[in-house]
Amino acid sequence: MKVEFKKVNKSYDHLQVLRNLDLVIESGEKVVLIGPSGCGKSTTLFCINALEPIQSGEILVGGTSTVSCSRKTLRKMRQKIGIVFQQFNLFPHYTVSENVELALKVVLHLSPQETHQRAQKVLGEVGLLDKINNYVSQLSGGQQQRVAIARALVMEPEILLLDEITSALDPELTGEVLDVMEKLAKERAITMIFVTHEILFSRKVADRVIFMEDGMIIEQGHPEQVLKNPAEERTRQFLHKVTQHLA
Amino acid sequence: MELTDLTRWLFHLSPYDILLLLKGALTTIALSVGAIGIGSILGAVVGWIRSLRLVKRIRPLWWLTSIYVDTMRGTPLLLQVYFVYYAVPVLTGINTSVFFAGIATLALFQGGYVSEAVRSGLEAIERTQWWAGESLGMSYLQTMRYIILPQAMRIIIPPFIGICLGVIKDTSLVSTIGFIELSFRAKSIGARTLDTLPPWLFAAGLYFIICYPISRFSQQIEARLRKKQ
Repeated sequence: MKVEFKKVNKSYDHLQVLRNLDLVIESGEKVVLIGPSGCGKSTTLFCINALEPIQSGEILVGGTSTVSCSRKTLRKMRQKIGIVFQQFNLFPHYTVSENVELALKVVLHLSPQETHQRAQKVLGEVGLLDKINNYVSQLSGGQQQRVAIARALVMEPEILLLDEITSALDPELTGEVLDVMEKLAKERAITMIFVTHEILFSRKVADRVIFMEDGMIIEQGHPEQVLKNPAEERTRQFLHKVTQHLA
Repeated sequence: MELTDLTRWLFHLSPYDILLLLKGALTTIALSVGAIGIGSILGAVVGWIRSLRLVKRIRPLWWLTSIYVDTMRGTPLLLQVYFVYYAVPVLTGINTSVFFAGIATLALFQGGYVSEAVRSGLEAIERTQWWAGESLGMSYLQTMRYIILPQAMRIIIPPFIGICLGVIKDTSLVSTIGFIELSFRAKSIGARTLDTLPPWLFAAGLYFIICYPISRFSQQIEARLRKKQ
């Protein structure tokens, strides 16, 4: 499913976070957004499924505007746009399987059998079949994030938005989550938009890397070009700061 | 030993007076159930309205609900009872019976406190839980039913039970306008027999019997909620 931003402006009170943003993400493309904190990367994701309203401009998802459509249409579109949050946002009063199955029952009204089958399949993909009856508080951070990924995937989305999904994890837990994401990126033809600081991961999975600052796109292109030989000085400075601790 | 002798020996009360007190207890329970039922619904609706972001942005809406809540929580219940029973007929021309005044005042009073418990319970749930529900394509009602309310109830229930216990005991105040409930019965028996302590002690025992199981139930609920978290 294609995503288009047309002259999008977004503010939080008097703080402008997106400035006349024009962006097109083709169907099936894997795009990584990088940039300093507060540059509008996460806001860009949240505007795609209208979790955050915009002040002006247009956002089209699969040709349909998320700004001017009805609430019913927006809910239908959201079923096809999966999102994985930085802080997981799992439901603490449900078990792992209940977290994953909830939307299948309540939104899609699937039968118990089909609900169970789909949940088992995605939980198997993220390696959590042995935890289905655990509550989320009984899981590690990495396991919780994998449940969040499974919860988004079980709806069979056409677009998957991933907002800094390893930032809230201890360094030793990020590997298991990144492995799952790498596998998904390779196996699934869905559009995936990542916000991440994981440069090595970006090189492996991205079709395009976009560097943002102050709510605008500074540079974008193939990972080899943007991450290894950025054309813009600001991109170079940012990458130098991010990668120097890896040396 | 005859029944009269037994009750006099145990409670310093005749069987007839004990029967009156038990009838008074039943009236207290009925009054409590009515007031708590109506007040809880009213409080839940007002609390939900006050938790909406839209209402906080539209200040007149907020002020309207605040007038109700702050008045209920900021004035003595006894004054509210007198106001409804004595002042409302004068101001509006509508005659209020003792029954109506009693149940209406207690329900409005209960509603004021319940609304704040509901509001704080709903507001305690992080906005990101709403986002998680909405991002899966759930409607407002579905998100509220399956995600927000189950979590909010864990926060709301303990103070709610405390409010209910308070209302049960506060039913004694409607005896001041002639509502024939447990306290009224105790007062009447004391005035008739000129022996005030026995009926009041018996009434206190009945209040305790009504309230103690609810108090224990509240402790068990809180323990279970702590365990689940």
